Amino acid sequence: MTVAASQILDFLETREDFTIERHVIASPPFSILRQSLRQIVLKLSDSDEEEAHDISARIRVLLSEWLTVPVIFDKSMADAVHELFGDAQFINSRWGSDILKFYETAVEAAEAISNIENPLRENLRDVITGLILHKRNFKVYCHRRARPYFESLIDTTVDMSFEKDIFLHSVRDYRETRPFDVLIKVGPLRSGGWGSAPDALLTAPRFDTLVLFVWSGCHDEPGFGYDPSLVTTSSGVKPVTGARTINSVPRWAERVTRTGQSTFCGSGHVTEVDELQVFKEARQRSQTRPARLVQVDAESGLLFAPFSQVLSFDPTKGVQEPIAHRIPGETLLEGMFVLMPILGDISLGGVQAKHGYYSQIWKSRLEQEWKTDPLGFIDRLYAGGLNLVHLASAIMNWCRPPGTVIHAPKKFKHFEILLRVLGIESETFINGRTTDTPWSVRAWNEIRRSRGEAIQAGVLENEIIEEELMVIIKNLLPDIRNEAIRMEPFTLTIPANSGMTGSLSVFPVCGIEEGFCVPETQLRIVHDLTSIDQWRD
Amino acid sequence: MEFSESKQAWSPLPRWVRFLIDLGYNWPSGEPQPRRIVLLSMPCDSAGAGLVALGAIIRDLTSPNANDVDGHYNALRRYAYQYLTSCRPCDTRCYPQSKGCGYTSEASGRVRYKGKKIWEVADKTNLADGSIWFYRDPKQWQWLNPKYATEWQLDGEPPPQLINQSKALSEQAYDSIVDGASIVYNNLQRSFSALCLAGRIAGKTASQTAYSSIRFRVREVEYGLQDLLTVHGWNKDSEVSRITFFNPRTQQLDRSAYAPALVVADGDASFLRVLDYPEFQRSDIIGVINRAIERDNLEAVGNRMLGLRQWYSEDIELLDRLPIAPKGINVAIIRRRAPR
Repeated sequence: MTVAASQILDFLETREDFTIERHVIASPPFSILRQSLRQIVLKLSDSDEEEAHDISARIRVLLSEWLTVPVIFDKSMADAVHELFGDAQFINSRWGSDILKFYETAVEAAEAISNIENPLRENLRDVITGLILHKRNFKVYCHRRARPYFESLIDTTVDMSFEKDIFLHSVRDYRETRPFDVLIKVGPLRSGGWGSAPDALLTAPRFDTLVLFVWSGCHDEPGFGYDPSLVTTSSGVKPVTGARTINSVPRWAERVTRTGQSTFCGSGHVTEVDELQVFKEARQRSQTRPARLVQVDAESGLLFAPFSQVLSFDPTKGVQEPIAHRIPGETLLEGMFVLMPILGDISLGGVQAKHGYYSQIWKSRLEQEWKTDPLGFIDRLYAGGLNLVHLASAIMNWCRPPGTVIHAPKKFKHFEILLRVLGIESETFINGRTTDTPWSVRAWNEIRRSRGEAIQAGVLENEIIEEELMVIIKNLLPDIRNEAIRMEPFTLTIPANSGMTGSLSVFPVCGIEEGFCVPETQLRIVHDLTSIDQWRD
Repeated sequence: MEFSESKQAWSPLPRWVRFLIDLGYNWPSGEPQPRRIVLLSMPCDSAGAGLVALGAIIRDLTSPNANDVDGHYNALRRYAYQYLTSCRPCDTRCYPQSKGCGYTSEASGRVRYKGKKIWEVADKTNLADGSIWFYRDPKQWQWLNPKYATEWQLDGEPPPQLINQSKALSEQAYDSIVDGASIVYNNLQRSFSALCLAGRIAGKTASQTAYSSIRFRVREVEYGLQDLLTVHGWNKDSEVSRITFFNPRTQQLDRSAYAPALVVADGDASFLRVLDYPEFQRSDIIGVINRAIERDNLEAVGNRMLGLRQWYSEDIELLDRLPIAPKGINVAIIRRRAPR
């Protein structure tokens, strides 16, 4: 309890009204850019091609960021659109004329805005300069990575006599801040995803004025400012009982300032749509689950399902259980460390995958190719579309004889490419007879079967391994404590005499953030923050 | 009387503190009522649950019947019965809920005599005629005389009544916090278990730390909220406990008492645990939450309240009887509908 409750309640008691100063910004070329990219996202998300979904997700990230962060309008925006599709001459043949048209319009608009200043930044700078000059105590609520964009707006030549620590990035930061004058936020009020903010901004304000910058067409999420004590009132959110008010919900007055021209342009009317809402609805239809981000350094983080029990280390002296399973954001907090054991194969006398019929064939060809010309083979795989990050180590893994499973690519699509490059895709003559089922499918079924058996055996083995692992990690505690002082990621080798092989990766917790929806398979993996942004919805 | 929070300067009692104490103090009791559930939403982290509980403690101190003394002899008999018939012959570790033995916690069979020596329920006990015997060693036996039953206490639980009366609770403190409260002097020496405080989900220590930030000063004497709450083991100056403590993390009550009439829960997670806990299904519940928390957690509470609406309706009558809440505090009260 860092801020005394009396301080907060006294602050609320002395305020009659609170104000939202909403700055609605419009820019015709930016509207065209938004509309074109939005159309591409919607068209590509209907496709059943993974590449289409990948491009669609990347555009979603770009656009969401531009709508919720005071970005600089420059050449990088047009470059970003170029990079999405690669060579423009193939767009028509690959994606059709509609996408090509939207792409060309988007590139044109992106190039047009690179010559003007982002009007949102212009307005924001004026507001911040005014606040500094008038010595108002203000704070900025933003996503951690948006911070440099705000910092670049603050004029260091002006007297910097305001409070230095002006950034709030989470509900926890908000809870721990004392009352102040003005809160600045870019993007509409949303409870999750890009530009998300705590409901408490409206239900428990610690400031008089909320200065909100939104692009035209973007709206606050309906129901933002949720308070569970109001859901049972017969009048819904209106907290009235009979003739008397028992609930004291803060009263908000709103002043809207519109900046920028109308969104009519020569080529016709540009419809203003709330892309953030459109993307949210599209994502809700896909198979994702809510997740929390544990940021481990300036560039990367891990996502965990809410209420996951994460193996972690608390460096606080005197703490009873320094190594324990903790819940991100609840008991796993900034300043602690996430522990990720990476174990080698452990034999507990359980399942052992056999050398399958198909695996012997493709593995021997793979080994042969790998020995003959590794670099050339990698190039051919890349050209074939197998664009894994650590392809060389993956190939070496696939060459290994079966352990608990048949080592192979994780996705069928990648496995197909591998077979195609190895030149065994068209073989349908099996065991002396022809068959309708492609060779690749039969080989894949063999791999899946081995994985299924391994999973079944794994349930029992996991419990034994977990117990053993805890003992080993507790023995490593002095080493962990020594290394942890630097507050940087590090790796320790699991001692060979422990009966297990492998290493223990230790990551400091730099921040915890909510509001992600992620496919199950992407949880508990270290991703760079740029990739993580695609799940910020 | 003066007030201080987080070691800040002394000041008159703030309005929000007065409101919460009064809510606990004026909570209806003693008459058959439909069950009520209250959700108090605060704009920040606070010791609000402790203050509501304090008000309810003062309310109980004014009631001549609010003590554990009257039922203590029967409590000892039930304890002896449970020990001899269920716990002693039981050969598994004590998880009553999974075992389904019907009890909520283990009876170790141990009792203290006059707060000191440990005795044990003896085989000699005759459950049929109700004569209970305790022994210390093969030569020392004592029959439980109903007249002197309060000299015995269950080991690990507060005494029903003080042996050493110099350790009575301070009348001055409670008397000053609620002006005009007519404290029954005997209650200051007696424990009571019909009120329950469900602490924070992080456990007992986290709750204790939160309440220790609140202090009252009456005629130059300081009283910490954590001491005034009289949770068993928190107040070193007195052994009397006027409130049961429920640890929502371990889901354990600190004594084998009857179901409380009122439970005050501290925080959203604690509130949800209390609503689900079997022992509290007939108790009134007041949940005090901080609404500056994640949306998921807010929705968990909101959905639970909405779910209750099929059997409960808004208690407009009681809401209208409450004073106007200070700005920033929102109150929802629902009451179980009468069966048709």
